[in-house]
Amino acid sequence: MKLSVIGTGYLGATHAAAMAEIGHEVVGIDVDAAKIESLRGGTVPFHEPGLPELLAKGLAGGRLRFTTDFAAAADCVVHFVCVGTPQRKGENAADLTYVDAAVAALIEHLPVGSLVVGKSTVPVGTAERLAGLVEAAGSDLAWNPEFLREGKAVQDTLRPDRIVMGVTGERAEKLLRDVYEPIVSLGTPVIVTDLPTSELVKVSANAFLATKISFINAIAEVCEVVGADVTMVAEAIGHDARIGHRFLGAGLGFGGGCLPKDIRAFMARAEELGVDQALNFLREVDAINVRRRARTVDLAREMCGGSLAGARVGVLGAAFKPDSDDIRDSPALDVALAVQQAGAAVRVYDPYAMDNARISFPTLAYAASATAACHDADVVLHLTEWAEFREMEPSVLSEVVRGRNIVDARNALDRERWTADGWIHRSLGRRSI
Amino acid sequence: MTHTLSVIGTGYLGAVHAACMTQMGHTVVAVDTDADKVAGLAAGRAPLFEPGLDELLAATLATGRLTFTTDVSAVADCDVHFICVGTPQRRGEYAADTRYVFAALEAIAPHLRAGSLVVGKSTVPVGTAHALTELLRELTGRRLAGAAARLAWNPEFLREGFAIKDTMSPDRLVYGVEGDAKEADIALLDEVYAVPLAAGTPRLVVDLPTAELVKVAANAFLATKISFINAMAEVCEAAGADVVHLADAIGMDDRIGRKFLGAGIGFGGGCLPKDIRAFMARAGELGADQALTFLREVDAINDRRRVRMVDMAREQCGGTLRHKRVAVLGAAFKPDSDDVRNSPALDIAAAAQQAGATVVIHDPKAIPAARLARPTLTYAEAVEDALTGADVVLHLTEWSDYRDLDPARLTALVASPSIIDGRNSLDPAVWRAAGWVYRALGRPHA
Repeated sequence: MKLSVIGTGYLGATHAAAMAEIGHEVVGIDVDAAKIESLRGGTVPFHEPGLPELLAKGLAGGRLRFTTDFAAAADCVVHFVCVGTPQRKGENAADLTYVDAAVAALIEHLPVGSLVVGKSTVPVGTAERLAGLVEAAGSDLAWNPEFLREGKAVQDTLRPDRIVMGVTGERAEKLLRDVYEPIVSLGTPVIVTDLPTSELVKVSANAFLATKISFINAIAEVCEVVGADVTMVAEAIGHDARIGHRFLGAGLGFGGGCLPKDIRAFMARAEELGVDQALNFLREVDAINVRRRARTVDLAREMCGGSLAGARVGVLGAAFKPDSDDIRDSPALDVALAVQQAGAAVRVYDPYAMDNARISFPTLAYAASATAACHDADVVLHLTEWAEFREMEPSVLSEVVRGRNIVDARNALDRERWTADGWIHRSLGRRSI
Repeated sequence: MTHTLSVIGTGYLGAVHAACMTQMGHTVVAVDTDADKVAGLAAGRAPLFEPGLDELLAATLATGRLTFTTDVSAVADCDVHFICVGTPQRRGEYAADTRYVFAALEAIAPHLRAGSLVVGKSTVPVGTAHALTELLRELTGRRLAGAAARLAWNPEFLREGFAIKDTMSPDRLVYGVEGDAKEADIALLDEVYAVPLAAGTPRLVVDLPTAELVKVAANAFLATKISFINAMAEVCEAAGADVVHLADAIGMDDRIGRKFLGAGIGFGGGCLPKDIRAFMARAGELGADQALTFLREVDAINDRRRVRMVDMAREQCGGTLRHKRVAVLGAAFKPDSDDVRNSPALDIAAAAQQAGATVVIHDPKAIPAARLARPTLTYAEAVEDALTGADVVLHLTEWSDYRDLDPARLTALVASPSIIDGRNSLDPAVWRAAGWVYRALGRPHA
C-alpha cells in the first residue's frame, strides 16, 4: 500500500522505515528540511539501534522516500500522524500545536476516502475532535497508539506486544488490518476499540509503568529507614505473577521525554474532565520520583563528609536510560547539576549522550571516558546503567580516584566486586555492606 | 527429614498451614486458645470455607500425625514453631494490633526446647521481628543458655480460595534469618519445606525487616494495581471510553500484566485494606510517611467505587432508591470464599438499604457469615428469591454461579430487567440480547 508518515522524529522515522520493511511504499513528510535531508542521506538524527540499517534498506529498495512537500501525501491511501506532543511551557497539559498543524496540512492534500491514523500520544478527546475535521474532508480517522521503547523501537514496531485500533467504523479497521497484515500474521494480538479508549491506552500504560517504578522507590524509602533491602523485596514480590519482576528496579527513578510528560498531561486532562481526584495518586508518583534524585545528592554529600563544597564528583551516565542518547528530563543530569550547585566540581561521562548533554547543560564539565570523569574524584555517582559501567572492573577507577566511594543509584553494579576492591558502595534502598 | 512442628493459632492461616505441613510428612501439633475452634478442627471441620480444606483435614487427621489442642505445653516436643495468629487493625486506628503475636510467643516460651526455632508467619509491621527476638532472648535466654531458641520470619502468601495450593506449591519461599546460627536456621527450614523446594520453588534468604516488608509490599502493590485500573475506570466514565478494552490492551505489556487489572467495585477482605493501612501507620511511626502517601489515594479510589456503584443503582431506579427493590448477587469479598470482612458487596448492599431500598442478598457460601456481620440486611437462599420483583440487580461478587446464569430465564422474575455489573465479569452481549439493560463500572452505557 501507499502510505504517508507525517513527522519524521523518533516515532515517525522508525514507523516509516518499519512500514517500508513490511512491504509498503512510504513517503515521510516533515517541515524540518534539515531532518529530511539527513534521512534522505540515510543518517538517523538520534541513537536508535537497528534503525540506520532499516533506513538504508528502505532507501536502497526505493520503497522509502522523504520530502518536505505535503503534496506527496496526495497519492497515499493511509496517512500516519507521528508528530510530537510536548508539554506546554509552564503547564502540565500537552501541546497539540503540531498535531493540529499536521492534520490541517494533510487535509489540504487528502484524497477523498483515505484514512488518517493518529499515532502520537494525545489527551483523550483529541481524536474525536480531529475526526470531525477529517470526516468533513471526506476521509476517516483512526487512532493507533505507538508503544515504542527507546533503544527497542524497531523491534517494538515490527514485533509489538499488541496493535490497538481505535476506529469508528469497519472501513478504517479493514484498512488498518491491511497495513499491519504482515505483523498480525505473526500472531500479534489486535484490539479493536473506540477512539477515546485507544487514546487512553498509551497514557494509562505509561502511568502504570511510572506507578510501578515509584512504588518500588517508595518501598526503597521505607527500606532505608528500617535497614531492609529493596532489591530483595523486589525479587520476592516479583515472583508473584500478578506483580512480575519487570519495572521493579529501585533506583534513581524515571525520566525521558515520555513518562514524566505523559503523566502530567494525563493529570491535566483529568482535571479538564472534572475527574482530577481519580489521578491524584500520580502526583505522589511524580513526587516519589523527584525525591529519589534528592536522596542521591544527599548520599553523595554524606560520602563527602557532609559537604559537597570543594568536592570532586565523577558522574557516570547522562542519558535518561541506557542504549539511548536522549537526555530529556534525565535524572542523571538533574543530579549532576544539583551536585554542582552544591559546590562540587562535577565531570560527566556517557557513552552516547554527551553531545546532547553539552547542548542542554553547557555549564557542566564533560570527560571523554569513565576514568577521565573520575580522575581525582572524592565520590563516583553511577546514574545511568550502561553495560559499560556494569561490566567495568572497579580497579580501573581505583587507580584514578581520590576516594573509593561510589553511589550506585541504579542498583546495577555488583557491590561485592566493588567492596572487595576497597570501595565504599552505597545505593538507594539498601544498607551498605 | 521430617520434623515435629507446632502451629500456634488455628484460624485461616494456621489451619491451612497445619494441614499442609502434615501433608508434607511432618508431625504437627496445632494450638489455639479457642476451645470451640479446636474441637471443630479435631473433628475435621474447617473454621471457614476454603476449597479442599475439609478434604485435606480429613486426610491429614487420619494419618494420626495431626493433633489440635488448647494445651500449649503440647509444643514441648517440637523443634519448629510456626506463629500463625492474626494481626487485626486496631479499633479506631490504622495500625496493626500485634498483641496476639507477642502473646503467642510468651505462651510457648516456657515450653521451648534448647535450639528450637520459632518462625513467624503472620503479617506484622516491619520491626516486630526484632522486638520478638529481643523478647525471646529475655524469656528463654537464662533457661536455654548455650543453645538459645531462635526466631525467623517466613511470611505467608496465601490467597483465599487458593490457600492449599499456595502453601503446597508457593510462588516463592522467603526466609528472614539473622544472627550467628542463621545457617542452621536455613538448613532447618529447608528440611521443613523439602517438598516444595524439591519441586523447584525459588527460595530467598533475607534479613528480618526485609522478610516482614515482603508481605506488606506485595499486598500494597496489588491494592495499588486494582486502584490503578479503577482510577482509569473513573477517567473512562468521564471520557466515554471502555476500561475493559483498556485493561486488555495495557495488560498485554508484560511489564504490566493483565492479572489484577479487573476494574470494578475494588478490593476488600481481611488483608488488603488492613495491611495497607497498617503499612501507612508504620511508615508514619518511622518518620517515612510521605513514602506511602500514595496508598491513601489507593484507599480513597477503592472507597469511591463503592459509592459510585450505589449512585449507578440510584440512576437505574430513576433517581431514587426509596421503595425500590434491589437484588444483590454476592456477599463474600471475593468468590470461592465465605469471608465477608470489609466486603465491598455488603457495604454497597447496606448503603442501598440506607438510601431507602429493600435489599435482598444472595451468596452461594457467605450468607451465614454475612448474617452475623450485618444482621439488619435480608438474605435469600436461592438466586431466584433474591431477584423476584427487583427493580435493579447488582452483581457484586464474581462467583462462577452468576456468570453461568441464563439472563433470558430471569427476565420474568424481576420488575425491571436492569443489571449493574460491579465486577465486569458478565458478558454484556448475552444480557443485552436477553432484553436486559446492562451497565458496568468504567464502560460506555451503550
